[in-house]
Amino acid sequence: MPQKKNRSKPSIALAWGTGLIGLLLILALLAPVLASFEPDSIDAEQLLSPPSFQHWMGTDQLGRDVLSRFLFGARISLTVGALIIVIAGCLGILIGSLSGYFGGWLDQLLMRFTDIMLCFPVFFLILSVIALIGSSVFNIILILGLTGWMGLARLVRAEILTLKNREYILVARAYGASDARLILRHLVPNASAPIFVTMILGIASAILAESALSFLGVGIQPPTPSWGNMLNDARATLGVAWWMSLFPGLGIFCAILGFHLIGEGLRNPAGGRP
Amino acid sequence: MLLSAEHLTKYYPLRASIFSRARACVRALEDVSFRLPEQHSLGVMGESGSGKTTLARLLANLIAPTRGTLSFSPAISDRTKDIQIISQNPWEALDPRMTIGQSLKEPLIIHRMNDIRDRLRRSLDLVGLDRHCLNRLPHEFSGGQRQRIVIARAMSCGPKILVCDEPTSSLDISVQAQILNLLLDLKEQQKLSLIFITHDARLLPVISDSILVLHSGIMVERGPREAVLNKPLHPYTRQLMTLSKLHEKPQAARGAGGAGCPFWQVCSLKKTECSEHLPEIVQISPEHWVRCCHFL
Amino acid sequence: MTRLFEVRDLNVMLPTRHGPLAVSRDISFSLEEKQILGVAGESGCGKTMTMLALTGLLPPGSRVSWKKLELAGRSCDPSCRTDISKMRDKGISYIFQEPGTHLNPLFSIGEQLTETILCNNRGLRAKTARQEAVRILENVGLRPAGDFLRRYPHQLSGGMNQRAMIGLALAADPKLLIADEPTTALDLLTQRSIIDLVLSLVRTRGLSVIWVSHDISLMESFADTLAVMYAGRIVESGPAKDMTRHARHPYTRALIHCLPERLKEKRFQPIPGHVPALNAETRGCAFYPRCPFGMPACAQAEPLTIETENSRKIKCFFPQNT
Repeated sequence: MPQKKNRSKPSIALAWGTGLIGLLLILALLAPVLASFEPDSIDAEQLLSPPSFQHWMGTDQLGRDVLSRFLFGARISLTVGALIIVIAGCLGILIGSLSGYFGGWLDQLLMRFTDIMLCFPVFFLILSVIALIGSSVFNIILILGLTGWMGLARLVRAEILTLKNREYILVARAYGASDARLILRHLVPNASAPIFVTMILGIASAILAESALSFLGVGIQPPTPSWGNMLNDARATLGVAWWMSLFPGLGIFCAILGFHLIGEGLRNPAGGRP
Repeated sequence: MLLSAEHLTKYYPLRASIFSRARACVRALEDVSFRLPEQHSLGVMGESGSGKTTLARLLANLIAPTRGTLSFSPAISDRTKDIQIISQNPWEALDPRMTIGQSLKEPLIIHRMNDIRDRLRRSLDLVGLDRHCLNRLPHEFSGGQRQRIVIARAMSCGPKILVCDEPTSSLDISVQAQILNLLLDLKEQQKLSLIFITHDARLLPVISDSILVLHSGIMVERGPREAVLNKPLHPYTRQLMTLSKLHEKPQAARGAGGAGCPFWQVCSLKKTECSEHLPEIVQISPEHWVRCCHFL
Repeated sequence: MTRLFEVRDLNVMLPTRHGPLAVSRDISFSLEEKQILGVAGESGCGKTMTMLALTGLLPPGSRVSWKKLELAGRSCDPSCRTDISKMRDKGISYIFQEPGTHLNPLFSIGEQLTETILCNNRGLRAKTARQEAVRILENVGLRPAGDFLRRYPHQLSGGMNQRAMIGLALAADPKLLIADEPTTALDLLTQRSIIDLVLSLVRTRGLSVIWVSHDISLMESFADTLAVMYAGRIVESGPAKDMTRHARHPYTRALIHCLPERLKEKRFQPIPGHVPALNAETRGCAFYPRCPFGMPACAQAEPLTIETENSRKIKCFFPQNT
C-alpha cells in the first residue's frame, strides 16, 4: 500500500510540528506560573551555577535563573515572530494580489519595487535603520515586517495570475462582482493554501532573524530576555557555562523545526492546490 | 429587439515583448451582426477557434469589442443582472471554496436583492435541486448537478438573456439531454432569450429558433432554423450539416486563415478571388444572410 | 476470422479508504482480428477502469482477477500479476481522452516517439528509430513529418495531438489498440478525421480496436460489435447494427433514446435518475431503480446473462422485444 504511506507521512510531520509549537506556546503562556524566579532578579551568590534542582537550567553571569529567562524569552521571540509575519503577510498579499489582478503598469511598478527590495542586502539595511531609529521591540517588529514580504508577494501574484482566468472568476465578473470582491472573496481564499504554508515557514525565518539581530546586540535590548540576546550573553562564558547557550539555542531550534514541520505537513496533503 | 449586435469585431493584440507596443493582432471575431428578439433562441454554431467563446465574452461584457456595437432594449437596464452566462465547464464554474449556498447568494448580494431566501428557493426549484445541497461544496456533486447549480445561480436574479457557451460539451449524453430540456423549459416558463453556442449541429434543430454559423471568427451564414438546416447556402454550413448526420463522410478538412474567405482552400466551389478578399455578407431572404462569393 | 483477444470473468477491485471497491464484475468479451469493439455507457460505469485493468495500468493495490485472458494465442496466468503488463508490452496500446495532458510538454513529438520506439526495440540505432518515427507520423497523417518531429505538444491543436498520441501508440507495434474516449474533447470535423484515421489503420495494419465512448450512435457508425456497460457490468453486447436497431436491454434503449437526434415532442429524452455509486450494494439488477420496465423480481436477484440469436448477450430478466 504505497499510497497510504504517502498520505500518512506528512500528517506525522504535522503532528510533531504542532506538538513542538504547542509545547513552546504553553510554556510561553504559562511563563509567570512556571517560572519560580523573576526573569531579571539578580542573585549575587549564585553566579554561573550549573543546572540544579533549584535552577533547572542553571544561572547566568548575573545569577539570573536561565529557565525563567528562557520562558519569558519564548514569549518575546514567538510574539515578535508572529507579529512580523502578520505585517509581512498583509503587505505581501496586498502587493501580490494588486499586482497579479490588475497587471499592466501597476504590476510592472510593484514587481520592480519587489525586485529592488529583494536585491537589497536586507540585513545591512536593518542594521543601519536600527542604528538610526534605535532598537525597541516595536521597531524590530516593524522593520522585519517591512522587509520580509517580497517572497510572499511574488507567490501571491503567481497564484492570482493562474486563478484569475478560471471560469468561476470570469462568471463572477459577468454577474457584476467588483474588483475588491473578486480579490477578497474569490482569489485570495483560493490561493490561501500556499499562502498559509509560506507564512508558517515565514514565522520560522522571522524568529531566526530576530534572534540573529538580538545576538548581534541590535535586537531586543537587555534586560528584556529573548532567545537571541540570551545567546549573546552566553558568548563570553561559552567555555565554562554551556547551559547558558544550550537552552536558548534549543528553544530557537525547536521553534524553527516545529514551524517547518507544520509547513511541510500542510503543504503535501493539500497537494499544493485544491 | 432585446439585443442587436452590429459589426462586432474583436482583435487580440499580440505583443512581441513587454516593452514594445502591440504590433500584430489575432482576429478572434470579424463583423458579426445579429438581432435577438424576446423569447427567442439563437444557436451559434462553430468549431473550436471559430470565435464562439469570444462572442460569449463580448455579450457578457467581459471584454470590449474592437469595433462594432452592442445595443440593448430598455428592458435590459443592467447588463450584469439581465445577461447571465453559463460556461462550458461545470467543474470550473463554481468557486471550489464556497458552499453552494454562498455561490448562489453571490449575485443576489451584489445586486442588492432584498428577498434573498425566497429567490434562492425559487431558483433551486427551477432547476430541480433540493435545499439540502446549500451547505455542501462543489466537489461533492456530479457534472450534471453542478451545471444545474450554475444555471440556478444564473437564474437567481431574473435575467432576460442567458448566454450558454457549450453548456453540455463536457457532460455525458444522458446528462446532456437533462440539461438541454431544463434550458428549453426555462426559456418557455421564464420568457428567456437564449444564445446557445455549440459545435454539435445535432442540438440545433431543437434548441435554436435561428442559427448563426461562425468559421475562424467570421460569420458565414445566418438565418432562421429551417432555412439553415434544410437549405444551407454556404458550402461550410452544408458540410457541417451533412457531418452531423454522422454516417456520411466529410469531404475535406478545415481550411486556414488569411485575407480571403476562411473556407476557400477546401471549398468545392472556390473561385480565384476567394483567396484574396473576404466577400461581403449578402441578404438572400428577409432573414437569411450568407457570406459567399457565389451569392454576390 | 481468427480470435485475437478474449477475456472471461474479469473482476476489478480498487483499494479505497473504506475497503476494496468492485468497479467491474464478470466482464467477458472477445474480439476478432481487424475488428472494432465499441464499449458504451455513462461515466461512472467502470469503462475506463476495466480497460486500465486489461493493460495492467491500475493504481497499485488494486486486485484484478480473471478466468481467462488471452491475446493472440498467448494466455495470461490469473495468479501472476506481472504477466498482464508483459502481455501489454507485447501487443496492447492505450490512447487517452485528453491528448494534451498525456503528452509530455517538455519533449518534442519526435523525442517522445523515438523514445517509445527505442523502449520497444532494444538495441535499435537512433537513426533507424528516427526513420521509423517519420514513417509513423506519416501514417497518422501528420505531414510533413520532419516538421512535426520538431514540434512540441503545445504547438499542436487538439486533433493533431490526438494523432501524435495514436502515433505513440503505434510505436509499440500493437495488435490491439484501446482508445478511451479519444474524440470526446474534439470538434465534430476533427472527431470524424480521427475516426477515419483509426479505420484506415485497422485496414492497413490489421489492428483491432476497443473504442470506449458514451456516444453510442457515434460508435454504431464504425464498430463491428458493441458492448454496453452499466455499474461495472456488461449488460448487453452483440453486433453493432443489430444492437442499435433492436436494442433489447432497457439501458441500451435509454442510451439510444437520449441521443440528441432522438426527439419526442420537441424534447430530449434523458435517462431518469443517475448512475449508482460504485459502493452502493444492490441485491437485484443495478438498473432496476431507473428502469421503466422494472418488475418486482428485478429487485430480488441479479439477472444472468442470456445468449440469444446472432450472438447477442443480454443481462436482463425481461429483455424488450423490438
